[in-house]
Amino acid sequence: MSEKQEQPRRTLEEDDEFEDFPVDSWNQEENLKETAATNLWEEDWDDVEVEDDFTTELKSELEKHRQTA
Amino acid sequence: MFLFFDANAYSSCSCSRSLSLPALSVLDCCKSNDRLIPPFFLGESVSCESRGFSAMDNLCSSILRFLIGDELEDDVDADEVASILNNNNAGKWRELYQATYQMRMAPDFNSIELQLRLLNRIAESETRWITNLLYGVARNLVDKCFKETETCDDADTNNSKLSQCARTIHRSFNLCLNDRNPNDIENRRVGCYSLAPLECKIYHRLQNRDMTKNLIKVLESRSNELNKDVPSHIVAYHYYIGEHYAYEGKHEVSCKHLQLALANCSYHSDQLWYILLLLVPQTMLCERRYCNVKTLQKICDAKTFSKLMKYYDVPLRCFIDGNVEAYDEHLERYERFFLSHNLYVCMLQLREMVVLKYCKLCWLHGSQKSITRLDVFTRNKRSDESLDQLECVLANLIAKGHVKGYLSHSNRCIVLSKRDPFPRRVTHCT
Repeated sequence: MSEKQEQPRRTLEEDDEFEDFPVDSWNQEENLKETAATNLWEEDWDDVEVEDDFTTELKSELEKHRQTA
Repeated sequence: MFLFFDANAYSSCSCSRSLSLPALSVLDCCKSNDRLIPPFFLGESVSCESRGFSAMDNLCSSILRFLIGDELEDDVDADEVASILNNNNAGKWRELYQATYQMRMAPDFNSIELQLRLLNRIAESETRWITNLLYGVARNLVDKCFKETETCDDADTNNSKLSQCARTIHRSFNLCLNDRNPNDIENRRVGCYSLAPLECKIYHRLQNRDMTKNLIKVLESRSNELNKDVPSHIVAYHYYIGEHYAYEGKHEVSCKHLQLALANCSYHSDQLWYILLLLVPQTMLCERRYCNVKTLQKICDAKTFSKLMKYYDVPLRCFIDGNVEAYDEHLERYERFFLSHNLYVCMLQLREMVVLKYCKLCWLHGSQKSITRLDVFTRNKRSDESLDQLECVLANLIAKGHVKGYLSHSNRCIVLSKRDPFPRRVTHCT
């Protein structure tokens, strides 16, 4: 019985070759021209605030600082 | 023989020999006998059929199917091809056909390389249509070369094979680039878009950045002469240029090319991983534009999205919540990955955005006054060392225009502009 030799598997992020764009799935009407230009990038992110653990902790520390100042 | 060639239609159209755009994988459609025209060409071919355009596509497909396809027999023999195209090349076509028959016996790197060399000789006196064949055979050569070098342990042999492959393809590339035919429809220059990415791919494998640089220098110096009609290869073409400039630290130029690559990409394609991996941090760095995660999820497939999130979820959150520690931890964790993809310096520069957001939040929730004590930002750490460090960071942010104000070292405070102390600075590279 032949032993199966396990080949080291390469993950995609290690495999940084760029494969050419496959022509058979290329459709000019389905490309990302509109999406990429309008929806993918946000410009008003700077004013966005989230309520995660870090922000809550920071706010409470700053509140304490305000009271002691 | 199922070549639908109409000699009358062909002769009635003087430019019909030059109408084929370079097909990326003509072979894909050649393998399908019931469909001679690549799907990509259908729109154009159908609209031009009355002018004999499809006849040339069919001829080109037939030759390519014979050169690199699975079919052992030729649909149209060498003399027939020469008589249809250019009788002066009859000898060269015969040589190419002979080399192809021999290649069938031993389909190795050398025999395919010979094929491309012979095709290069024919291409010298042919027009744009030949770029299809050049790309098809060159692509076949690269595939074979990579396959053979992957199974061989001798680094010298591999390097010389890859270099030879690059030289022969570069010859094809030069034949396209230096075509002086003033007729844009006929000249071969459009072939540069398809052949340059193949060359870059080999240089990438050879880890030879200088060769990539030289190639890109040539392309950019001649960009005005290149045809502006967009073939499908434009994605790979712009990706490689963008990737090169990312390596050189020229992020704005890199962004410009990667955005063009992205715009021409289709939804859920595998290429999005490579393009967005470079584009997300560089767009943030150059344009201060933030990647919308919901849209990202929509345009990528699940696998690509989860891989991108592995590397960018934490940084994207940190840009919003200003968590500098989490950002530093993430950068340290994936240091090797970012280094190997030439992104480490970019990510390091982006740390400033996280620090800026942190300072803004501290000011918003801790002071909101024009004169703000520095210990607001250090969260009550009042040691000279931490305040000095903070002053240094703030001085940099002021110098770069991210913060409007000035520092008072003696009073350990910052005097911020009453009007918009943290201005938004979105710029567009394109």
